[in-house]
Order: sequence, then C-alpha cells, then structure tokens
Amino acid sequence: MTSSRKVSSVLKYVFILIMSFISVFPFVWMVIESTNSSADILAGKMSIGDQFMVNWHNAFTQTNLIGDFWNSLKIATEVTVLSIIVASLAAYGFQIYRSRGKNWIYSIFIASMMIPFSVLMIPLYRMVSKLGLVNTAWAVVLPGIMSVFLVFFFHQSLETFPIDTIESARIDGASEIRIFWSVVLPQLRSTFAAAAIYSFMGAWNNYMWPLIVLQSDDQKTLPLLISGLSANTNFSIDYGVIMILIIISTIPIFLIFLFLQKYFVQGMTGANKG
Amino acid sequence: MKKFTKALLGLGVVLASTTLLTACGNSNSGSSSNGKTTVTIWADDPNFNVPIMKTAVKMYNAEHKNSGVTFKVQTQGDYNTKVQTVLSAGNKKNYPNIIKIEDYGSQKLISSYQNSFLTQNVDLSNFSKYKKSVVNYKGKTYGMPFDSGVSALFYRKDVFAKYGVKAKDLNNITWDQFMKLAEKVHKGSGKSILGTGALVGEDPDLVRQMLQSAGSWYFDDSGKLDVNSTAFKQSLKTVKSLKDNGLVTGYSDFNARNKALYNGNNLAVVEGAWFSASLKADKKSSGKWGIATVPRLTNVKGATNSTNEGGSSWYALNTGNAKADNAAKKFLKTMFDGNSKFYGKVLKEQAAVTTYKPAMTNKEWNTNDTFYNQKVNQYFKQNLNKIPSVSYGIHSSEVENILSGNLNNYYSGKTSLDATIKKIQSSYKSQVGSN
Amino acid sequence: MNGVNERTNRMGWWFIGLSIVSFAVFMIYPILSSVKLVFSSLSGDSSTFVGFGNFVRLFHDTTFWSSLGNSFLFLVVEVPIMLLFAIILAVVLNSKMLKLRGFWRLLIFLPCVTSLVSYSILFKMLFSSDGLINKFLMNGLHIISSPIPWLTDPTMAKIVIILALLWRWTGYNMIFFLAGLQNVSEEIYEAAEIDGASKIQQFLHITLPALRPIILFTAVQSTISTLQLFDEPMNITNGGPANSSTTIAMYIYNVSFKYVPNFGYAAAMSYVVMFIILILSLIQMKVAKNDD
Repeated sequence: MTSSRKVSSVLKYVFILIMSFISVFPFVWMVIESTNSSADILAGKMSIGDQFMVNWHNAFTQTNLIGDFWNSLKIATEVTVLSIIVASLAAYGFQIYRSRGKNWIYSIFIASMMIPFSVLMIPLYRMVSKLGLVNTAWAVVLPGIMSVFLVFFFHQSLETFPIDTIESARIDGASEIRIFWSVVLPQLRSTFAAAAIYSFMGAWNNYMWPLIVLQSDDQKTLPLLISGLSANTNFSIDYGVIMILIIISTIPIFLIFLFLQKYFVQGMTGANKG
Repeated sequence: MKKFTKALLGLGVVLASTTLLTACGNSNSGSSSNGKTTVTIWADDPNFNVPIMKTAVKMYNAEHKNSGVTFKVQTQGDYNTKVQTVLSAGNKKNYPNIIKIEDYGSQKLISSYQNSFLTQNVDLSNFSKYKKSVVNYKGKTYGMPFDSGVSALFYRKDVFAKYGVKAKDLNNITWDQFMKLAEKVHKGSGKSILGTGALVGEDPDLVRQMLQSAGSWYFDDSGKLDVNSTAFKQSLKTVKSLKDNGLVTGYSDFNARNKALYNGNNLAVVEGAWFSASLKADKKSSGKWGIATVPRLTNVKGATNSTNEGGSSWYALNTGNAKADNAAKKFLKTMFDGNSKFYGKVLKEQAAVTTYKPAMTNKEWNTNDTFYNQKVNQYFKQNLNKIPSVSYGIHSSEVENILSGNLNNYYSGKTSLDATIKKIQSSYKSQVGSN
Repeated sequence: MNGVNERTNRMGWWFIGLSIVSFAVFMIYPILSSVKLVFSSLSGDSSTFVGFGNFVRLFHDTTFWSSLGNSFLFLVVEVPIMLLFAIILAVVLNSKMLKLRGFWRLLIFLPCVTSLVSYSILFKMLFSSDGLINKFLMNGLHIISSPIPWLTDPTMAKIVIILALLWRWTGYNMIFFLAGLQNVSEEIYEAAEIDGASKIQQFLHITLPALRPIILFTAVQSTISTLQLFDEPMNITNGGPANSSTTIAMYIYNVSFKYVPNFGYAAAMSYVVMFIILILSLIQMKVAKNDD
C-alpha cells in the first residue's frame, strides 16, 4: 500500500515536471536568446551570450517601446475596468431580476459568441470610422467594453449567490444599486479578480482589431510593434530586440497572474457551476 | 484585495479621462484644420519605402517652404489587410492620401475601388515600359511608377569558378544550358544551387519570373485564365527538371533561405533587385557573390533573359479634401516624375532600383559595387527596359493559391502536366466562380 | 421566480441597460449590416444583389470545403487531447499531497500569458528545419537522423499547429477544471478509498462525473474557438504548405483581404460557419443532458 503510494507520488512529480518543462521551456529559451545577437539566434545558439545590454539598449532606442507600452497599458486597463462594470451589472440584472424578456436577451447575447469576428470587422470599422474614432484608443476600447463571455462568467457565479442576503437587505430598505455595491460586490471579489485577469489578458494581447484601427506610430500597442518588426517585408529582422520586446510584453500579465492566482482559481469556481 | 479593486478602478478612471482628452485633440489624416493641410503617406517597409518617402518629403519641403502642407509618413504592418479595410469602409475622411501598392495587386485594388483612386498626371514615357500596364486601368493612369524588381541570377562566383563556371558562361543563356553548368557545380560541391523562399511548388516565385521573361502571365490580355500557354507549360517543366536534378531547394521561409545562403549551403538565387540588400546583410561574404542575367526559357517564342519579381508604385487616394488631394498629386509629380537628384540619392542610400529613365544618367547607376565587385546597378539599368510588359490581371492571388497545391503534385510526379493544368483550371473556376 | 415584485423586476432593466446599448451598437448593428452583404456580391465599391448566389457558389467551391475540413481536423484531434491533458493536470495539481501546488499551477498556466504574436514567432523559430526542436531530437535524443520538415510537410505543418494550440491552451482549460474540482469534497474520495476503489476507478466514477458541466463548458468554448481558428495558422504556417493548414477562418480572411475583395461571399461563408458552430454546440449540450 505505502510503496504503491510512493510510486504514484513519484509518477505524479515526474508528470508535473515534464509538463512544466514543456510549458516553461519556450520562456527560458526566450530569455537565453535575449542575451545573444540576432545572427547567433538564427544560428541556433543555445547558451547565454553577452548581448543582453546591446539588445536592451536597441529595444529602447530603436523602437517606440515606452510609448507603445503605455498605449497597451492604457487600453488594457480601460477595457478591463469598463467591461467588468458593464458585464457584472448585466449579469446581476439577468440573474437576480429574471423575466422572460431578459432571458431572451441573455440567449441572444450567448448566441452572438458564435459569430466569427471576420464577419463583423468591416461593418465595425465602417462605424468606428463614421464616429471619427479611427486612430484613437477609443476605437479599440469601445468595442471591447461589451464582453459576452464576461456576462456569462458573472452570470454563472451569481447562480449560487444567496438570494436571502439580498432579500434581507431589501427589507432593511437598501436601494437596489446599494445592494449591488455593498452586499453583492464584496462577496464576489474573487470572481472580479478572475474576470479582471481574463479581460486584461485579452485586451493586452489583442492584435487584429487594433491593427486595423490604430494607424499612426504613436498610437500603436505592443503586439503591433512586435509584429511590425518581424514582418515578412523586413529583410533584416533583429531577433535580439524582438526577444526583449516579447519578454517585456509578457511581464505585466505574468505579474498580475502571480499576485491574483489564488483569486483566479476561486473566481473560476463560480463560473463553473452550470 | 479590496485595495487592489479600488486602485484598479481609480487607474481606469484616470486613464479613461486622459484618453478622452487626447482623443479630442486628434485630427484625422487628410483633413485640414486651421488652414493647414496634412498629407498622410502609408508605406510598409521600415528599411526601404519608409525612409525613401521621408527623403522625398524632406527634399520637397526644402523646395516648397511655404506650401502650408505637412507630410506624415506612417509605417503600417499587415499592409494589404489594412489598405483593403480602409478602402472598403469607404469613409474618405480616413483615407491616407498616398499609398504604396505592390504591382501584382494594383489592378485588383483599382478595379475594386475605382472611385477611391485619383488619376495622376504622369509622363509614362519617362518610365520603364513594363510599368504602364501596372499603373493604368481602363485607359487612365492611377499610379506613379516607383521601384522595380528587375531580376538577376545572384550566385556564389567563388564556388562556381572553382568548378569551372565563369561569369561570361552564365550570361544570356537558356535554362537548359544553365542546368548543365549548375550540374557541374552541384556534383562538385555537393551543395544545392538555387534556393527559393518557400517550398518549390508552394511559392510560385520562379514560375512567375519565367512567365514574365517570356511576356506571359497566368491570364491572357482579356483577363481570362491562360495556363495552357507554351510559356506556362515550359516554366513548369523547367522547374520540375531543376527539382529532379537536385538543383533547387525550397525553404520554409525567407529567413531560412537566407541562412542557407549565408552559410554556403545554397549557392544561387533568382530574385528581384531588392534581394541584394539581404545578401549584403551578411558582410563577411563580400566579394563572393556575383550577378548574371536570368536564364531564358527554351523553345518559347519571345523568351528573354530579362524579368521582374515584385516592385511597387504610389497611388493617390480621393479623400474628398481637394486641397490635400492636390497637394498629394503635386508632391508625387514633383518628386517622382521630375526629380532626378532624389532618385540618385535613394539609389545610393537605400539601393532603390527605380524605373524613372531620366535619372538613369546619374553616376550612381554606373559605379562599381564593391560587394560584388561588379557594376551591378548598370546591369539592372540595362535590363529594366527589356522586361517584357504583361498585364497582371486581378486574380493573381487566387491563381497562386491554387498553384501551391497543384504544382507540388506535378513536381513530385503524382500528376501529369496536362492533368495538373486541367486541375488548375477547374479549381480556378470553382473558386473564382461566376461572381 | 426569486420572489421579486414587479417594481424591482423593472429595476433589473437598469442593470442590463448599459450592456444592451453597447451590444446593440457594437454587435447588432454590424451583424445587421453584414446580413445585407450575404445576399449581394460586394466587390469593393460595387454591390449587386445575387440572392442565394453566394451560397450556391460556396457549395461548388472546393477550397471552401477543404479549409472547412482542415478546421474540423483541428477540432477533432486537438480538442479531445487538450481537454484530457487539462483534466489530468487539474487532478494532479489539486492533490493535497503535492508540494508547491501554487508554483506548479503557475508554470502550467504560463503559456496563456503570452500574446499570440509572441508565441507564433517563438514557435516558428523553434520548429524551423534547423531550429532547436530538430537539433534536440537529432543531437540530444538521437531519435531521428535527418531534420523533420516541420513547417514544410503538409502533415507535419498540421501537427505543429496542433502542438502550438496544445501548448497555449491546455493550461487555460486546466484552470476551469481545477476550479471545478474545488466543489468535489475530499470525503467522497476517502469513502471510495475505503471501499477499495483504485485511483483510476475513482477518476472515472467520481472525478469525471463531477466535472461534466465543466467538460461541456470547455468543449463548447473550444469548439467555438477552434472553428474560428485563424491566428496560429496565419502566423506560424501561413496556411501552407499547399493549403494543408488553411482553416475556414483564414479562407474567409483571404476572400476579404487577399483576393479580389468580396465581402458578400465572405459574409455568406461566415454565416455557414456560425450555423455549424450552433449545431455542434446544441449537439454537445444534448449529449451532455442525455447522459444524466
């Protein structure tokens, strides 16, 4: 009994080690390559070199790294905050104040997840351009504030929310918005954290839509910067600089996840009750 | 946790307000506010057309100090997607004023968005003759011809010489003759001779250049698919025998091929003039490379040793703002159809092989290129005007996508030439349809 | 009902108002304008009404069917493998006996934090013919003698796309399962242990049934995203070689942006894809219900 336990426990560690290695390897490789020159990276050098400072310096001087980082941060934060507000309120409305009409609308919301983005791109661009928002951060932020997935996510977590607490608050005479703010919100902290990570990650990594609507160099986001530098038309790609840029673009989400991990798993729990 | 939520919320509000403020101060391209006119120019290559346009703007501004026009050169990624989205949205206010379009795609875009393009006043006799069918559509001129992809055979002259192949042996020969010579080098060195930037059969670069060298294309003059021509058949046969003899190797992408060229695993390449920059990026191979004419097709009427791969032209868009539109047209006319000094400068700085004939008297065209130890630009200049003129039609991308599957089957011996052509024809019909 | 009276029920509309407005503006309006396209042949400036012409054309278009086939292949091969790995990982990472659980979870989830642009650059480099993967297999493990043409062989290119998807999305799905496992009490397992049930039996009879709603959820979500798969093949293999990794979303993109632009035809294809996703999701939900 104990020996088979030991075997299974060892196997568990071996399995986790292998999977973690596969997961992490590209990151390690990326960090190692960031210390090599572009030519060495192309030649497949797999040891730490001495070009890190050169690449680092080039990344900051040859590209608009700081400006683009700020653009990315700004857009991702705005999308996160706004989409969470919109989605949590909506989910609360759908879940707590159920009615046939609202159920219908909710179903329409959910069904819309199945529409490929390519079909919306042209009409959406046409609209954004009519509103005069092309080449502004708003062109990216506004279409991002309505996330059906987040509505669904909050809706699921609210499914098990104890209605009694809301009822008793009502009896105490609290207004509906007050109940949402001071009774429901604190209880759903981890759901909010999970939604925040999810939303921020999506907005931070978003590529296709920003590419279309952001045009001048000073408005670009990090993914646009990276893809621009590695485009096929570029015959002398500096992979050293690209490695630095990829690392820098990965760090914020990494940090967010690192600090909110506990809440993330907890928050997802709610979303899973179906 | 609560602190975090609050902090996030606060940050969001602050950021939202800063965006709002900057959004208000942002004016769109092509618009003129407080009497100033802005002309926005889109290009895609940060090492080539972007700096070239910046040079043009700088020189233009120096001569037109009080024009009241501001020029903005913007680098766009995923260029074709972006251009098509902007054009299809149809909001003229958001159009850039000047865009670069690759020659292969120009007819497609002009025919689709004819109302969005401005006709330009260009003296086409000033430019290499093959450019005419690129920038003209239904008898009107929409584009300002710019660079050319006049092709050359770039080869490792040191290795070729080692196996008895001299520079003069390679000039003005047929593909059959080339294969005999290449065979010697291949057997002796054990290295692959020609490299392509995609799989053979995947990337129609070679076929494309062979076709144009014989004044032929995927389409006839009326725009109908024409893959039954002798030129097309002969091109396919030529690539197949290159492949059967191990003389051509395909790589997964441009970078993989460049790597093979740098480390000597591949000894030659047939590409447009612009490819020179990639070779020169590897400084230690200076003196090892040479250029010769592209071999011509055997048994094809009108076959020449001159052809083209790539190249682009500039187009002015109808933004609905007459001031900006006229400024854009005037800028293009002044710099690109009249300023030889500008062309001399970009030839020197960006190695831009352009099609403006009056500028070809510039001494840069005749200087010795130390990397090749050859008068490379002179070679390009001489061949530029010999490139057969063809009409690229509007469905080249569709055809090339169909080719990528079918050519592979032919090259590997799975299908016969006739069956391959029949398959291409039927796929084309099913994909392009009657619409 | 939740015992909410009419007045407070009406209050509910205020809560969803914001989402309805933004949904109408950024979803409904574009959708309606695209529906109009479906029945026209919109090439650039000019638009002509073609009725069901786009659907007839689509039916005869071999490229449409082959790219749809590729999308399905990715769906059928990749999604089950990914979900299986995600479940196993979640179970292992949920085990109380495992030390440093948070650390391992972080490592497994890490691939999700990279942007598509970044990871496709990394994968392209790793899998190039003289890339690190081939070097490792040849010189490190000595299992192959010549490099595997990862990106240049039709079958291998598909495999690379599947590997990339697995790498990127397994950890993401793992989180959902991990969360689901928090709802399964330890006592059930302890009771099963006493009854002499093996680990595998416990997994099959306790864990899997408990995770069923999450399996359904992740399966539907993966189906939707795999049938819309665009980014990976576009950036890693560019759909090649010989269109072997071209997905339906890529073909729609090509028809809109690479070929002579025909947004009407592209929209018609998009709606066919949407219809297929809808049917598949309904089937998945139905199957999940019937098993109860």
